Amino acid sequence: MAEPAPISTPLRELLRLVERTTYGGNRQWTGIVESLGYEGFIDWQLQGEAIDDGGLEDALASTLPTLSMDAETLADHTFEQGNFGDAQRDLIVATIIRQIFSPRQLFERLVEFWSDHFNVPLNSARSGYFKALEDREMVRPRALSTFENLLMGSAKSPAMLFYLDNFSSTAEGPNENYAREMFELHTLGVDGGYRETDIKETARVFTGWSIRQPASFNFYALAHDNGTKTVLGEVIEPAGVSEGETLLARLARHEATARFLSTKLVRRFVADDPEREVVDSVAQSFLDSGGDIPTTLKTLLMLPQVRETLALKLKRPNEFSAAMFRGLEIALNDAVLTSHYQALLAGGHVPFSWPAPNGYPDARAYWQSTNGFLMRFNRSSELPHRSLQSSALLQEVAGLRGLDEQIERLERGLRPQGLGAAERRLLKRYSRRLPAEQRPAALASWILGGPEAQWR
Amino acid sequence: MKRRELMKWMALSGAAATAPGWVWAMGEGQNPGERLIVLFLRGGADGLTLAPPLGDPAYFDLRPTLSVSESDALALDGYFGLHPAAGSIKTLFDAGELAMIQAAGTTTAERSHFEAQAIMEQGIDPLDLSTGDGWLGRYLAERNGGSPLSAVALDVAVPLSMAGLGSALALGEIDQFSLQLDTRTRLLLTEIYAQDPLLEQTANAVFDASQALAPVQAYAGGEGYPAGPLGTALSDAARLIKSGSGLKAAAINTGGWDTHESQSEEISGLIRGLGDALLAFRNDLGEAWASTTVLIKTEFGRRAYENASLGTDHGHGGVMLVAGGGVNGGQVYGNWPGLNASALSDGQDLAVTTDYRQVIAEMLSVRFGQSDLSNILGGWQPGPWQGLFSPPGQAGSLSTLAGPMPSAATEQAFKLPHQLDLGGLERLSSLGRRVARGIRPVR
Repeated sequence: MAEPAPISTPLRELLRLVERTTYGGNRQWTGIVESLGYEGFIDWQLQGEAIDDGGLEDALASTLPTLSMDAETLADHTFEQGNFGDAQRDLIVATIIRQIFSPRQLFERLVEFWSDHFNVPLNSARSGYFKALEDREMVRPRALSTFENLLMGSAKSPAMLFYLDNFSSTAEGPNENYAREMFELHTLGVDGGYRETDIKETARVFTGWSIRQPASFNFYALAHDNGTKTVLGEVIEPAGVSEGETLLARLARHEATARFLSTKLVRRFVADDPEREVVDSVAQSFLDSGGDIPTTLKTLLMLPQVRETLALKLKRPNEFSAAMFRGLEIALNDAVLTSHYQALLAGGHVPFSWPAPNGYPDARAYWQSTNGFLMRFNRSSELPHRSLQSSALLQEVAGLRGLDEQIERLERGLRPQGLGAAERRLLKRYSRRLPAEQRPAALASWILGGPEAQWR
Repeated sequence: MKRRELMKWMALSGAAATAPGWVWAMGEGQNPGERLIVLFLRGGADGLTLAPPLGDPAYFDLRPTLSVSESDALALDGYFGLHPAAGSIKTLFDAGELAMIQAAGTTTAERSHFEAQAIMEQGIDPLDLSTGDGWLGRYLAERNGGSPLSAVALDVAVPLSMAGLGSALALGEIDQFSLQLDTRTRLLLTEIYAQDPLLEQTANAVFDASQALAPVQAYAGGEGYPAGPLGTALSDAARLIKSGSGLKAAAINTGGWDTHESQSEEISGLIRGLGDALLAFRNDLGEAWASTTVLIKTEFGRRAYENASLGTDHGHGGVMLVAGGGVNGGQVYGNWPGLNASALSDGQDLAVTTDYRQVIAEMLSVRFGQSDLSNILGGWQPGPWQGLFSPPGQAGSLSTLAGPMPSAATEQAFKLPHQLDLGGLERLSSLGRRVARGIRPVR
């Protein structure tokens, strides 16, 4: 049999766009991107929460009770009634389900990006409580707004105030933790030109920024250092809470911030080592648009160099696992959740569980470990066998008689870019002696466990 | 027969399940030597609380609420004391098997966690000299060979300190490292990954490691370890050593030391957990402790004076610990620069008088016979040895030490469950398909 004709370059770009902006392609999403085109797909996905979610959020809210509890009710539920862990469970489950099933795929990718950028782990009863509220009230509503909006929201978020200890910072002994990580991780980046004195002065600026129980921002004027401060060469006259607000607004528009954020965005969506010219273009768009996230992101995705860049990103564990479920078109059920959670746990990538303020790593050097590939091999070999009934794709393939037809149908679902010649030969060779009814799951597990499926 | 061919033969013949000890003992026989455990305390451990300088009056001025009082401290050497939760550390110290190096760290005062860790893991200073690989990786690369388990990270990923050694393995928890593939799938994956030069080595390492770990997994874990990741990691390290896996070095991380707030509450459990895990490890190893060295480092010490959150911010000079049968323990090493205002680094932090590389250099040279350190430490020249270690074979016989004292768990930490509680979620069934049917892209 002849090799299939090579697919056209535009289709290759369309499929790569899906891989970059979603948690994995499948036949439905291939069809969508083909009908909308490259730019049309981006414009659609950038509508974020305006995209009809088919009732997903309603279903989550009615099933995971803490997702919709207000701060007071959740505090009572957690601390008075002693239901530690409920908020964590509901947030993790909701995040997993959204990433695999939500039609707002790019939006969910950005929520993940900002959750890493402004990392707050839910590793205690109190931080789980605050993080659950932050995800709902700060990160998700602002994920597609402006960077300034997110930075300000984070600075005033009880989750961040608690995690980086600013809530207890007073004029008598400013706590430097937030100021330091804000410069290094949230805005300018470690080479962004700030010095130790800037950290100390900034810590003074944020004295009094704290939490009013149960979970809202409050500025305690009495705890604030009312002296004059100098940050990055500019004098800040005493002005209470607006000192910090003005400083954050200034940092959000700073050129170093634009470069730092752009580098991270390109790294997340395209490649570990971003090209300088690409970062330059994205940073310019960030500055020109006042840190508008949809504008910046569209600039990034539309750049010719980006469109032409091959699949250079090693999928992180959550991307790898979610892509299997999406590719196989598996209906949501208990087994899906259990299996995906096991993959995240074994791979060290459960949402909101990275302990340090820098968020989960975004580089192959970290994720390409024996521990990680053990997980990938085990999950990819197990999942198709367990989901013969719940996978629409496998159901179809089981109804096909010939090996070539089976491989071709799996290819359309799991590897629309096309199987490599060597991979196709191996799949055929190894499945020839398998009984016909065992072939669909075995072939799927080999495609999903193979090297091509690790990249996007 | 080369090692990989041997593996393939074993995979095909089903010999894996009963991997004979001799296969893995080969490397062990060629190099009976020493084992190194590198333990990194992430976050910047407060050396001034772990081993408070009770003889320095400025300490009590700088830490009016956080200082460890003379009456609370455990006796150490007359000048320094130990935090009251450090009972197990004191046991090891008093047995002469643990030493501390005070005022140790990087020469450059780097107060970012991530930059300071990157310096220490690469074995460089300052960060401008970055090599991209780690001092431990370069050391191991010079004596590579033997068992597939010679260099492991007991973590989900290989830390930067071990980078540069292509064959270092990240094992996570040993009991969880179990490859569940049928033979056909394993062989296909082996062939298919040969097509990807970037991933091939990792794939093969997974297959090699899962084979090599079978006899280690059959070896029961020791007793007395505190519950939690550090106890598990050290227990796993002991299993690797005691089962004769050919381990040369293991890297372990433990976090939580970034005590900006309510430090006293947080640090007691950390210190107790560290000491108890170490003492359990020592007792678990038995005679193998004589040829094992544990190096403990942290990216920086904390600010000499406390903040208003009852915590401490990022500082400079910190503490290092070394433990093992070949350590000349029972002493606090290093010149104490003092905490007087004039002695502080940048007017705020404990100064560094012992470069962290000095300890690494002496350890590699005396314990591991590594005479040429130029590549490992990037050309940096160490000073005269401090006498931290005795050469292998010179340690006296090991005495019996009582295990850690039991203590009540006080933490209210949230730990990820092994299974998701799915109660009530059956209502979500088939939601995915309903949602997918409803997707109607609108331009």
